[in-house]
Amino acid sequence: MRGDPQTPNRGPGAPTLDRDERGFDAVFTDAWPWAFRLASLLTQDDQAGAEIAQDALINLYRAWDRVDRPEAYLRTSIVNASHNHHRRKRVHRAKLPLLDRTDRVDFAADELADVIAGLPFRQRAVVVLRYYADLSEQEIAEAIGCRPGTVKSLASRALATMRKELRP
Amino acid sequence: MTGSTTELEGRIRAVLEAQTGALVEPYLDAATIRDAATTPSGVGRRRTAIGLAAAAVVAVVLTGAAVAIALRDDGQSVVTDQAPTTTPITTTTAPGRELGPAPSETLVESPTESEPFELGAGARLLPDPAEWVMVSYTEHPGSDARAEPETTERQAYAFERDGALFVLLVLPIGNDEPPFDPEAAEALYNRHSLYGVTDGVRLGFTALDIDRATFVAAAESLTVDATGGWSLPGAEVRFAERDVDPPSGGAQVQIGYAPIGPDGVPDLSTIVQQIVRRDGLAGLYAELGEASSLGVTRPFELTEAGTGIGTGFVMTGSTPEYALYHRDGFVSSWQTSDARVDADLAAFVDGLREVAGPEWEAAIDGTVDARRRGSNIDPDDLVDVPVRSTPRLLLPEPWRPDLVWDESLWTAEERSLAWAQAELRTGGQPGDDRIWLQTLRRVGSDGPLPDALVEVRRSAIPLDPFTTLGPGEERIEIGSFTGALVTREDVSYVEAVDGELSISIVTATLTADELRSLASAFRLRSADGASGVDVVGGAFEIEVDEAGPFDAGTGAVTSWVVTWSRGSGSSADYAVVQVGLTNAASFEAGLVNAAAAGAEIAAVDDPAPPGTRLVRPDQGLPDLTWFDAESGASITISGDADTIVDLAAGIRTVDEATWIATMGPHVRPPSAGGN
Repeated sequence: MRGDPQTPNRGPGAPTLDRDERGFDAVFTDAWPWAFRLASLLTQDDQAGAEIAQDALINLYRAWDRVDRPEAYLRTSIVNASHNHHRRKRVHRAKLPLLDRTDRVDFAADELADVIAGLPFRQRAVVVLRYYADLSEQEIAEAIGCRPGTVKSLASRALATMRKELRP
Repeated sequence: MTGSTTELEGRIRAVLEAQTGALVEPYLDAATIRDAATTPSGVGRRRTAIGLAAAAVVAVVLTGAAVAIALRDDGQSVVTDQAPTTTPITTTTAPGRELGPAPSETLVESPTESEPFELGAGARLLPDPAEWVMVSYTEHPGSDARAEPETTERQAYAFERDGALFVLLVLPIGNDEPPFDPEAAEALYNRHSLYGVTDGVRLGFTALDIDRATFVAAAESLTVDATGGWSLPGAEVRFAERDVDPPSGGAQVQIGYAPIGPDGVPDLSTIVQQIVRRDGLAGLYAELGEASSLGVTRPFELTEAGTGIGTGFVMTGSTPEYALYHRDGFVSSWQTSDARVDADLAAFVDGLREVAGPEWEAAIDGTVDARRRGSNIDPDDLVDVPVRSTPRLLLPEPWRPDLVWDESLWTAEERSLAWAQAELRTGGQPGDDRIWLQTLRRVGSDGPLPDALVEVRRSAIPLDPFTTLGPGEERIEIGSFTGALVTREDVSYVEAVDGELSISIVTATLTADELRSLASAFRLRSADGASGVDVVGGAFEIEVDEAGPFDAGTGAVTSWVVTWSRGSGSSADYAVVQVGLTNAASFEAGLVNAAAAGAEIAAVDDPAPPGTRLVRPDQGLPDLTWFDAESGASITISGDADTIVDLAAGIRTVDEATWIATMGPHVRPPSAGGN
């Protein structure tokens, strides 16, 4: 093992992926439910989340001998893949805005959940990584490929949007 | 503000926890991951490697003419007597169910694209009128998707063996597929579907709700002859087509059905959407093969048809539930409009019956009334929604419109209904009206953006004053308004409140010090602040200064959106053109808000219309946008950055007659499902 940091077990789903004592299979067992949920939250699509999480784990296995921090590697893979999914989905929406608009039905869904789902991807990613995965700003910055200051900015914008949308 | 930050954060955590708590991860084990990771080209074509439920693992190898399958359960490998000779591919499956009676067959030739689109008798199907009512009906002429015919053969087969129905699709590997290693093969087994790739084709092999052993045995015995034709030894060929047309991108009809509630009112939140397209039986099997892994499948028959029996399948337990039916050269699919909708699709299809022309036409004619009843709108409440002229813009050849949303082309009743329904959706919600809007620019600045956006809003209820400040926030006062100046990395803003009124300042270009200085130079024009502000000191000039409220409802009525495409299939370019009535203030406000949200705003030189900006968001598609002062319309084109800049030069304005002739066939009215 190459100096794997002890990652605290945090949040409702974030596993401790200590690769020092365990092989890939054991890490997989802990990681799969969490990775699936993280990707599903990021994409707001459980089927896409399943595929993205699976791909991320495949990539992790392929890179297993080179990866010091499986959890960080997995996080970054999932965020990147979710980002790509978001772009593709955005393209689809741009092509069919009418369908998005006209098929909208007022369901009794949670209002805040809808606002989170409508956030720009990076803002949503910060919200999910911060409040679901309980990551620090440094860890979030690493996962989404930006500076910690940008994480603060994205988080503030997301919260401002939520306040605005939820304003009674 | 919505409570404290801590309270909001608590709600966010609760929402995310609730969302993830409702998720059930598909079965997947480490062995599957390891195998997929070591299989060449395994990832790109995995597609449905993991489904909604799975309990065992099957490794499949396609070895040319025969298929060898290695079965692994609970991590223990059991290799069949046909040992793999090439890299195994892992698949997953779940326990099966017994197959119901095999459907009868009606073979119909695939029609040609040039035939006029008119629903045949076998496609005019209505659900139980005591339970369901048609609420939308729209014909889409479609695009000429076959202008560039595919040259690679597609095959579709349906076999019956020992009472079980198997569907085999042989599909070409598209140009966008990753490089394929002919020595490798991939097969993914989910429920009773198997997807494999070999020798330049992709195989989709589906069995409907049989046990796993039977499916595996069938997959093992699949053979391919020297001509590339596939067979299942010992099986009766119920259908075979060696040269299947690709799915039509052409005409289709979209129909919506709503369940009738106990009070006789249609429930518009539980829509079953139907799509009818002209296609042969191969089209049904192709769609079935693609979709059958989504849930438990059972065939159904519509015996009331009288002149024949179609072939149909309903998949329940999928998300959303899904049904398919073929008869008389038409394939119909039904699905719930949303995975959260709890519609009994099985009961729905069991209640379908073929109807005569007059009953069918009456159902279509009744859609507007059904939607009105579903919305609880009294006919007397319908209002005369005015139509104002907006610029009508066409893209140059070879761009063609795909979908059109233009409320000015609707009937007066459709406009009224849409307006009333929009009012109903927002009715009872406390308003937050913008009553004044200004943009400010530093004297001498010629940038593409105003330097500050000032909005005065009136809330339906008094707003909580700012009592606590977070990091990066400082207290600020503007006349009687108190609030906070918030500094972030890319944006700074002020929010200040006084009772029901609030003032906000947003800037993407000023520093915190400059914003603070600007705010201190504000002078309320009226005691209550409802008339905007003047700016003293001479450093800033007011660029846009308009009173609200802007009537968003009226504006929406006369706006339009058109999606355009160029090319076909996955290689098509596309653009979205959107025009909406607005005012200069709203247009500028949109730019500033976009910049505050991280978008890059740039000026665009000729030949674009004057004042055009390129808005490149931090995510998603760039927009080319400008404001037409004469008509009061803002115009936005979204698409690839290079494409839309080029398009700006080719756009032409047309008269109403040309517009109607061009867009009329593509119009999507509210009866198509709009609310």
